[in-house]
Amino acid sequence: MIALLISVATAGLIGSIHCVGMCGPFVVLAMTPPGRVHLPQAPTADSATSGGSSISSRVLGYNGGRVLAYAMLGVLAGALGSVVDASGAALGLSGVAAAVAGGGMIVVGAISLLRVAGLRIGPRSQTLAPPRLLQRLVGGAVRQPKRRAVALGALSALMPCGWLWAFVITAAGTGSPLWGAAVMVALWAGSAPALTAFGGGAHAVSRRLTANRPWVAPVIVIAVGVYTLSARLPTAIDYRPAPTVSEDDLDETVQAPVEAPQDAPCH
Amino acid sequence: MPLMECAHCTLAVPAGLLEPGADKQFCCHGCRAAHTIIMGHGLEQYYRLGERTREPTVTGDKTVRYAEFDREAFIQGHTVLHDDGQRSVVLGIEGLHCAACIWLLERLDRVVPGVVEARVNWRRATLEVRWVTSAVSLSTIAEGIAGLGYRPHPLRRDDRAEARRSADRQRTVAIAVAFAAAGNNMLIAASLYLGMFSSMDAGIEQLLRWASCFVGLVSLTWPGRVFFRGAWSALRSRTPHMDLPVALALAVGGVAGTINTIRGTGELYFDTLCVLVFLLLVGRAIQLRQQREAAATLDVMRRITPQTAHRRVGDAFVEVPATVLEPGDVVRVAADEVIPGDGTILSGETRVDVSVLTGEAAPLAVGPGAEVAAGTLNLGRHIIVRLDAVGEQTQMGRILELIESSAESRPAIVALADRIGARFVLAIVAASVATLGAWLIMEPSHAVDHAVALLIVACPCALALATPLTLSVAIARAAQRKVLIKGGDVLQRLSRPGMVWLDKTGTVTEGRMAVVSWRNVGAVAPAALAEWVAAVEAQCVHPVAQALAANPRAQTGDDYKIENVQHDVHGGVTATVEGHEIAIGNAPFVRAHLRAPLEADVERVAASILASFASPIYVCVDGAVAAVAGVDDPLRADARDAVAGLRDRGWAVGILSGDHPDVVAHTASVLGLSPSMCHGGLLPQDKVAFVARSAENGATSVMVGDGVNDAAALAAASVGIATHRGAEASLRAAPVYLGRPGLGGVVELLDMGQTTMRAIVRNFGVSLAYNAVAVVLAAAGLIGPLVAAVLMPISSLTVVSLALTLRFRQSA
Repeated sequence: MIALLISVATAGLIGSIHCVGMCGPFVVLAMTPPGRVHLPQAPTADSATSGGSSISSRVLGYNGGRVLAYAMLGVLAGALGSVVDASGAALGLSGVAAAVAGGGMIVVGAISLLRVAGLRIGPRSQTLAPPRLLQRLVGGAVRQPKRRAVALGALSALMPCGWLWAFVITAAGTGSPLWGAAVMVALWAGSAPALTAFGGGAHAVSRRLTANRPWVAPVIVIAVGVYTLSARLPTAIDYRPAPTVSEDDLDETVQAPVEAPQDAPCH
Repeated sequence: MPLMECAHCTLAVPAGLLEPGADKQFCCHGCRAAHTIIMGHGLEQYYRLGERTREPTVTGDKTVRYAEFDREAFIQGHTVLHDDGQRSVVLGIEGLHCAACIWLLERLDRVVPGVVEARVNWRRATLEVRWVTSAVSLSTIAEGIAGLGYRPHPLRRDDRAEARRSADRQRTVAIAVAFAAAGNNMLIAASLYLGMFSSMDAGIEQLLRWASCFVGLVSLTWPGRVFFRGAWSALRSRTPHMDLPVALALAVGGVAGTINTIRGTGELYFDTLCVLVFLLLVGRAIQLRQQREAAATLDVMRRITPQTAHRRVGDAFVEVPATVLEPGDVVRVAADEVIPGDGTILSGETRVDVSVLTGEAAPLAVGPGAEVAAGTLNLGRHIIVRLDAVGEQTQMGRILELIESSAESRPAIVALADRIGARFVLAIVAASVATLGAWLIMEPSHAVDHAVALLIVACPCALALATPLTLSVAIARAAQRKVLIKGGDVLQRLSRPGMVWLDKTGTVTEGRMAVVSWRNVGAVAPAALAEWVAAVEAQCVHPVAQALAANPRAQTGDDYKIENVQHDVHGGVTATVEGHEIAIGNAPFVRAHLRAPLEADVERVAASILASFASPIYVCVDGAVAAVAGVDDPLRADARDAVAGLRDRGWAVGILSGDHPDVVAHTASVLGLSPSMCHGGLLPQDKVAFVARSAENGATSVMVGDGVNDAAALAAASVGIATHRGAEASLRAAPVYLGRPGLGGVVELLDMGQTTMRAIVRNFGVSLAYNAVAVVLAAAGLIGPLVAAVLMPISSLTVVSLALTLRFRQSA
């Protein structure tokens, strides 16, 4: 299990360049001092202390919100995985969640790779619009003067980001809420440094580093998927053999006659 | 190939995700979503890292979603500034599905301070809002509307269609999810049910219960949330709303079921709730489609103007739906086709029937350069017309707008239905609480079931929806008969007989001079004398001349040699026709012309003409009187029958006129009216006094007259009916305009009123009966929640369908 966590954290680190790319603007927004919705050049002493909250509290707030939300996602995913596992166990199968998760990751990664290669798969993304709820929530978060950072951090867990959700699937595959949360926290840990340190300026960095390497992320997803599938991660609940009902038991329970009282007026 | 950059994160876009032709490419769905969110909140500056930008104003106070409503261009273009400084705007609304939605929205002033008035036009799905500009901004109002659960958007045709399409898509998705939830929950319920008989492992049973709870909660929070939103809005604005009982049922069932799931034992209601949500959503979708079809049927504009037109495309004429026509299009209108828009004739000569606009039965001759109006009928040959205005911008469109946006308050009967609906909802909630209490005491296991069933089965929709729908259908069908009615009050008021006051000139009579009698005198009259006279008078615009020119005895259309036409100051004309000297005029003119006294038999003829209150016009040929014509404003052909029809229906009839009392008395006797009710020599204010007096004590007082001259009297009556003259002007004074000449329309209108009121009462009765029976059955525990869920949509659909079947019998 530890091995999985380490590999997820590493994956998070490698992929955090894209995290910065996509969530960069939100990070900058989160780091902005409250009351002044404008572009900070860099965290300076002035902007750090103006408006009533310090830059460190905003950094903490953003990352704190993010880790909490990620952990919740992990818990939910893990719980779902445990239900899948339990259902599978009732059928006599073990480790169903891990198998499904692993297989799913491989499929997702393969689709992404094929897209990089030029194949068109799936619905045209033009037709998919972000849910209005998300729009409203972000709007609400932006308007919060004091807790904007925390809110935005938490909302980043709701972004329709394939990278994030691939690891949610991994968390589900652990079949346990606790380990699911651990997987997501590991992902967070891997991506936190880049997001925090580079905030705004990483845009330039990211472009230079990864412009020609769109295949990196899908390959990582496939790798983690294969690992999940093959390693048969230990699950948190015990594998129980399915209860078998013998013929004799049936006869005994069903055919026991019920004595009707002799003086009952009707049956 | 160079890799495209993602517009959001600037990383490479995989070739398989490139959208050809799109101006922005994204590397993944997440970036697209993030980009949309950022742009949607006006935060673009965060992309320009490293650049120094001006400090923009804080955008954080309002949701930028409706910021476009505050832009100056929008305010100028879409809103109207009133004299008192307030502004009003008409917004399209998505999400209206029942009468209670109208109540909610019309209480916008309680939800958004600063709003003065909000009025819903349900047929067009629009909301007119009036607000104090200094107190609140339009975007805040839009937010308030959205907060109630209805999406406002600017009133542009394509916007409305787009909003409707996206709303439809969402609805379909919700129904699909509800169906999936219902199906899955039924499977789980079946398993649990079967498991009760054979031993089911406790762990599996708990798993299934939790699964049922999970699926049920998904159904309640996703497709089912519309009901909660409606109920919440209703509570916020303190308006009883249809969704209130349903939301209560879902809430009670959901909470009870969840508690039982956590406890591990007890009844779970989620299967019922999921099926209920599904069936209600389906029923609502069907109802919405019915309403849309009804709205299309009710689209009076469509009934009067054609559905399709032949538009010139290149060199050919292509048939297109009338809705896509634009000003500037050139269309061909064939014979017997209705002209689709206001325009100018480019080529072709024909006659058009303009009665629907002016009440003139006589066809109007038109040719190239002449203007024609939408809704008029092309009687002759085909014409090519260039359209200057279409749809709501045409004269007909403006008239119909007058009808729709009548300033009258909601008709009394609709207000009554609203009030009953409100009390009904409260009564239902109380009844279900009582049912719950009673059953909890008697047999607790099914108490929740029965209470929920009662909440579901009661349908106030039928009550509140059927009445306005019936009225709308009646008004639309009347418009088909060229009876334009403004406001539903009219039909209700006309259902009780009272007093009908008729104007004389133009209403009871033709309003035009016509030749009512022609007597050839002496031996000198040439055979074609009437036609000679007609030909001579054809050029003159004097009413008497017009009458002689239109003499029905003189219509062969032959040409005659006419010379030396001279009009005399004494009111006559002389000419030379086919070599003979002709003189036409009244008595003084003829005496002066002849320089000899009139002969006895001529005088006798003249006297008999005068006795019938007509004017004698003498025709002299070569110095001697050859014929005497009687010219008068004749009674309309259907006047006598119409008056009889009015009296048969229980109305008292009288005449109010400015004409000489003797003439009025004569008309009264011809029509068979009592002379005490026919008054002549009246000034306009006298007419008003009569009309107002007969409206006392709640009696119905109807005035039928000219929309322009009798405007005051028409307005003073309980129902003013305007005839002839222009429709637009008339409808400003009176709530009813008869587009057909003659009084037959009045009788038809009275019949329509009766039919409509009967239909309303019938629909009311049907829905009340259904509710009474259903509620009793549910309270007694005889119908379960599932059956209730099926019954309720059926009942509301039935009543709505009944309302749409309103038809008017064609009067003779």
